Amino acid sequence: MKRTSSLGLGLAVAVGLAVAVAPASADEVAAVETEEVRFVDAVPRRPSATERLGEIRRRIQAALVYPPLARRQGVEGVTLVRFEIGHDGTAREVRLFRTSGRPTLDRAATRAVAAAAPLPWVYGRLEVPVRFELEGRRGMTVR
Amino acid sequence: MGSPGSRRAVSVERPFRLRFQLVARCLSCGFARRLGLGCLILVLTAPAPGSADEIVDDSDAPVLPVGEVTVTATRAERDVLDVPAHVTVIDREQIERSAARTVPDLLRRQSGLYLTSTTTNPAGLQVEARGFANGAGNGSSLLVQVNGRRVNEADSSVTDWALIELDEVETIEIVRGPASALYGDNAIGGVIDIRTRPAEGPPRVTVRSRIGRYDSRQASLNAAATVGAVTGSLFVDGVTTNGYRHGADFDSQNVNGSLQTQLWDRVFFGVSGGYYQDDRGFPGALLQADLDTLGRRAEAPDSAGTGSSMKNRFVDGWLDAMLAEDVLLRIRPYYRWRDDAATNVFEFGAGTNTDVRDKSSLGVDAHLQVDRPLFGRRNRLLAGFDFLRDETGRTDLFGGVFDSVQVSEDEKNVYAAFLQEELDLTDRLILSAGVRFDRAEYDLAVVDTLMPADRAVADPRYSIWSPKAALTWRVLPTASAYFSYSRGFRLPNFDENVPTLTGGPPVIPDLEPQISDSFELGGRWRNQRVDASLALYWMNVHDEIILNPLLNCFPGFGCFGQNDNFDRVRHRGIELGLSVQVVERLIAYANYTFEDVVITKADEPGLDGARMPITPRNRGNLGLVARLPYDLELTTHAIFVDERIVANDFDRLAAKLDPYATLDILLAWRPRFGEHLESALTLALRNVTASGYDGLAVRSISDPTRVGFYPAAKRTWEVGIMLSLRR
Repeated sequence: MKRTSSLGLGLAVAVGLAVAVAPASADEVAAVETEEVRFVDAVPRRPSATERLGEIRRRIQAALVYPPLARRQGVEGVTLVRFEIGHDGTAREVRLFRTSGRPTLDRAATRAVAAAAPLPWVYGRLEVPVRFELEGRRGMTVR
Repeated sequence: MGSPGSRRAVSVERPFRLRFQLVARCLSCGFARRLGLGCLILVLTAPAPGSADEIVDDSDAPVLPVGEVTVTATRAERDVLDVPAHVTVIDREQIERSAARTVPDLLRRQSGLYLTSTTTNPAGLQVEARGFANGAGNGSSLLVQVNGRRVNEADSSVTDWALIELDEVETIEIVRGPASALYGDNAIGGVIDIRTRPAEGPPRVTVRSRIGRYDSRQASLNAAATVGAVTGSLFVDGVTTNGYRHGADFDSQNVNGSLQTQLWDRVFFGVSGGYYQDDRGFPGALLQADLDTLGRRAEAPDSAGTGSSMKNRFVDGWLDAMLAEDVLLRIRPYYRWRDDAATNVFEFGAGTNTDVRDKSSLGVDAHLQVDRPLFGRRNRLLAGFDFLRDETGRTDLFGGVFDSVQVSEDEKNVYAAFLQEELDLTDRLILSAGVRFDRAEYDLAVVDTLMPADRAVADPRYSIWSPKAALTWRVLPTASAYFSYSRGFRLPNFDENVPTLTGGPPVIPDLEPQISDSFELGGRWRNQRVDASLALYWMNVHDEIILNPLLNCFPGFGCFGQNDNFDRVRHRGIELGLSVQVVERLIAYANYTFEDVVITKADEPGLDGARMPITPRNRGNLGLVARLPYDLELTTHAIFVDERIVANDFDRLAAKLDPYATLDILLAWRPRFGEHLESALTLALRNVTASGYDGLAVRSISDPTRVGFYPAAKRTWEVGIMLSLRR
């Protein structure tokens, strides 16, 4: 796993400070694991990183709209979007990481992420899969 | 705050290596060599999975997963339980697990539809619905559309099923019964709406190859990808077979492609085009004496050499625009043109004919769809217009009893407007009503060396109203019942209005459109495990168009027949469909059709009360799909068809064709190699019991004692392989 030295140093300092200043409880030091890296959030106050990620998910969800024409055409798919959060709570560097194969769904996903502000700050690059799904069994085309 | 981690350039090595692997794989399949150029173009132009075209964010830095966000919406498509008609939707999964090789082979398994075949190759197949398979050479009462484009031929109105390759099909929607209130001409027995595999979705490439008995080989390639805002698809296909009968050789090549894009999330437009060509043989009808001496695989001795070459092209356009949140404008223009060069040796020694024709169809469908509640209830309004121009130019050289040259230039313009409303009267009651007006104007010109120079064909004009009204009752969330009245019509086609000479003086028929009034009662029960449907219909057809063998008679020569309107023909029937998921790995299905088609009023004495030929009274099928361990799948499919009256045999001089049953078996191994690669190895055995049935039989018009048989293929096998790579 490649990591820049600055990132590693930053994480180490943050963890060290957290341990030294206030003994961390389970709520105060939240950890989120991916397949290859363990992120440690050492901000000693609520909400925890897990809670903030949940809030980010809820805000994106609220900003998300199924494109009406895609719905008409029975189009579904999953778009993978990556972004960062600035200190002002806006999503930055919003990038499409994996297309759904339908540009309209991709645009709706990136637009929802960009419009979800204000977002609670979380350090690092975030990834959100956005699934567009139509309810019910396949029906008949109108004409 | 800067982006964590450094950015790196996307490697291009892997995509290109993958492309070259695909090229090699594509070219290595034997039959596909002739399609090699198409494969090469496709694979090198389509972005390979994992290419930079899709991945905008190429950061190598670690990421923090937020968790999936899902947005759901209600489908805009109509729930089949809300549709006041007997409908069926066949999806790609069902196509894959069927043992069907062609679209008609799949359709013949559906209740209400009936297939006749005359060649044992992919040409010469005709599908009809609700008892309209009643003529030998008459037009079609079944409207067929591919992606919204009418594919009924300009001159004969029948569908050339060889042009629609099953590998390219994503879904088939079947609407049984008249639907002219929405679709107009030909939608009298039903509508088949075919959608090809979509370009949308993750990039994919699917390669198939099959070999089978009678030197049958086929290869196809289907690919789709998105580059930036543009989505494209390509389909390349080739089929060759010697058929089952001698003289049934068939060789086709087909290329279709599409490009589409979307603007501002509100406008979607695209174009597609295609080129198809084939050489096809027609082995002709065998007399009983031929069957006894030459066998059922023989080419008819008196029609040896009959066949044709054809080229077909099409260009489609489509535009969907959301004018408001609940208003959709949809425009579908299309144009297709086709050249045919046929050599016909008339059966029973009636002569020879060289037929060269070019034909074209130009169509535009434009309509508005408004989904705006009315009185607080769900409401959908559909309003639009259609335009269709069919043109055919023919040159026929006749030799035989009467040598002649016939040249014709035919044109037909149809203007139509329609309005349809669907309103929820209550939470459970849905009202559907609609009306369509069609104005058809013909411009027919024929010059024949046997006709007086100043004799011209009258140019018919027809105005037809097609109403429809229906009530659907959602008895339960999983069940509904409906009652409907609907009208359907079919215009006389060029081949019927200007009949090909059969050796006698030309007779120009004065045909009226065929119009039906149909009443239907039906119901459906559909949940996760069971899909059951029942439909009972009663249809009164006015002026049913048919080749009347008792007309155009001359002392000493006998009758030559003439296209005619039968005043009243009653079609009635029962259609049953059932599909049950017995256990998780076993699906059983069955269909049954009863059809009773009787002439209730005709000008000729002796025809009143006569049963119409060809359509059997009873037919059905039964099938099982079992998913076995080790990714194996077994499909068995049995068909039963009751006895049939021979075509043209209204006065029942000939013996009926015997009932028959066939059994098809498909064994498939479908291993998956990871998330992105699917594969299938299939063995299809068709007509396992080697039933020796006839696809059609026709009584000679000039000599009623002679009956020509078109034997269908006995036992055949086919081995196929499929590889599908999806990102």
